[in-house]
Amino acid sequence: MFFKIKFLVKKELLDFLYSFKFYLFLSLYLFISGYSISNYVSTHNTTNIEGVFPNILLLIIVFVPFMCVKSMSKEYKHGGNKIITASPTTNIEIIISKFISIYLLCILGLTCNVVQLLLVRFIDVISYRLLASTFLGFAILLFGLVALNIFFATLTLNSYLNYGIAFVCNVVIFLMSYFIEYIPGLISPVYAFISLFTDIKSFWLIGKGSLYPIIHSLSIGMIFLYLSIMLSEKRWHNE
Amino acid sequence: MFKVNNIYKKEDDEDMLNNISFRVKDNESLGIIGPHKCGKSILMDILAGVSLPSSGNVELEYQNIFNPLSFYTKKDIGYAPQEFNYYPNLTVYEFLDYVAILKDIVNKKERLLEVERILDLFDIQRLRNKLMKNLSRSYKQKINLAQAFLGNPKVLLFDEPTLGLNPVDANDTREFLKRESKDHITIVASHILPEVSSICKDLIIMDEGKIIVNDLAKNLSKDFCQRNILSVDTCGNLNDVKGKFDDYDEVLLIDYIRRDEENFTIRFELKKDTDIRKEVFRELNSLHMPINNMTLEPLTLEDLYGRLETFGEIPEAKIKADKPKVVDIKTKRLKNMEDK
Repeated sequence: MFFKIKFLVKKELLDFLYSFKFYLFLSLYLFISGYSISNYVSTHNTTNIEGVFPNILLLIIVFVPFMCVKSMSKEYKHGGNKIITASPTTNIEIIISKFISIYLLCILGLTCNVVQLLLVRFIDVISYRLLASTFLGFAILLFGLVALNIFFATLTLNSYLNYGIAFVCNVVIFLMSYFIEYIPGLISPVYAFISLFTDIKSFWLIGKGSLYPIIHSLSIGMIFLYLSIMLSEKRWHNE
Repeated sequence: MFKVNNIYKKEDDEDMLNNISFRVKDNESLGIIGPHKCGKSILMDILAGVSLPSSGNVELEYQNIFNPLSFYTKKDIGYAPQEFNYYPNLTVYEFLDYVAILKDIVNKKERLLEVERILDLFDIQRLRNKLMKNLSRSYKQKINLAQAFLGNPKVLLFDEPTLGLNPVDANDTREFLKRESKDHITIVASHILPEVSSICKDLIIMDEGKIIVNDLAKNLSKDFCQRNILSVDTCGNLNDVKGKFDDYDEVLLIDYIRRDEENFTIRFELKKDTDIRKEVFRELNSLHMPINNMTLEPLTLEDLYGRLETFGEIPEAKIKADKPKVVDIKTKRLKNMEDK
């Protein structure tokens, strides 16, 4: 199983890396995030870069659904779902490999952001601890976020609709983190569980995290990966 | 042995497939023919394990392919679906390598040899480094067929294998499939009757999700598939021409189709390798009837369906009808026309 996943991940990565659209979107992502960083540093006249992260987060919630929807819909678009389901390959192997490949690409994008942030060092001193903690925070957050978006990408056969649902849900979950203190007591725990971003903020706000957001994001990731596998199993065999 | 037991498929409250059962023995081939949207592709998807039936099962060597415990029997099924536009950014070699991995050929050396064997078998070595998106429709279809052969599966399933190919490539593909499918259980679905009959020994006909003609292997002989239809557009008095061609040995069936008050078409079903165009010309000329159009074409599935509408089935006796039955048919057709 792991051997097959390794090859499927490789194929998924190749498919992205050979695609012109991927480079177009990566360039766009890096341009906007680079502009956001330089704009923040110059307008606030500070190298305290914590204010940049919400902007990068906003970018992530635009680009992650795109990659997830593209990865899932291409099987239908290219008729590959028939080849896959006709072969002795399980949906677990397919979904996990898609998840890993998108996660790795997100980490690649994040690494580029770290390089961009390191360039700020030429202006003034930056906190490496904050940078490392932020990278870790984002990496943990992406685990849950990618799994969540893979689930949205399997919801219907219409990729545009899936993207719309994923984007709206991501924005709502993102905004939740700002309104959590206004939520009444009873709903608050449910709200806190859904909101992926709330606890992860400590990674870049104070430069240290706790175990809770790690477990939280991993649990969300696992739950939605399981749901995606179940949903794709049903969809691929019944459509 | 590949066995299909009482397959039933329902989608959106509509019966897509109804009580489909048949079996194909080792090294034998079966053709499934039927018009577009008769349920062939849905059935092929089910046989390949792509789609699940609402009820019924598919057995390969007495193992139900839908049973999770016998999941790996899928390894013995090679499927070339109708739609093909896979992974445009992969090269032909990468694509075949990928399918080989999907088919559990995990050993790198073994996989390399298998992909090379398929590239040689299909004579596509020169395409190995070409991106899938740069291939012509014809080559894409070749790759589609090639991937089904990966892993030397026991069962080969082809859904419309020559769709979109030019006549030369289509003919080559038919010959190739006929030659290479000898050591496999082969099932070919198509709407082209001569194509299926040239590849497969046994044939079944489907319409509206049902097998309407079963056990037709011997009944639908190649002779039947190679019959010709002569269509003659003319005008004048229809009664003058009736009975003129009843004595021709070459003629099996005659249909008179009135287009308007004066114009009508005469359709002759002719025996294999026969042609009566000269005789028809002479007869119509003697009646002073002009010939507006005359075409000689092979018998199509539509003609076969015309027959099904008339008789409800295609019993061997009626297909190979000789004189008296031909007269019966003509009388029936004429009677129908007069009623209208």
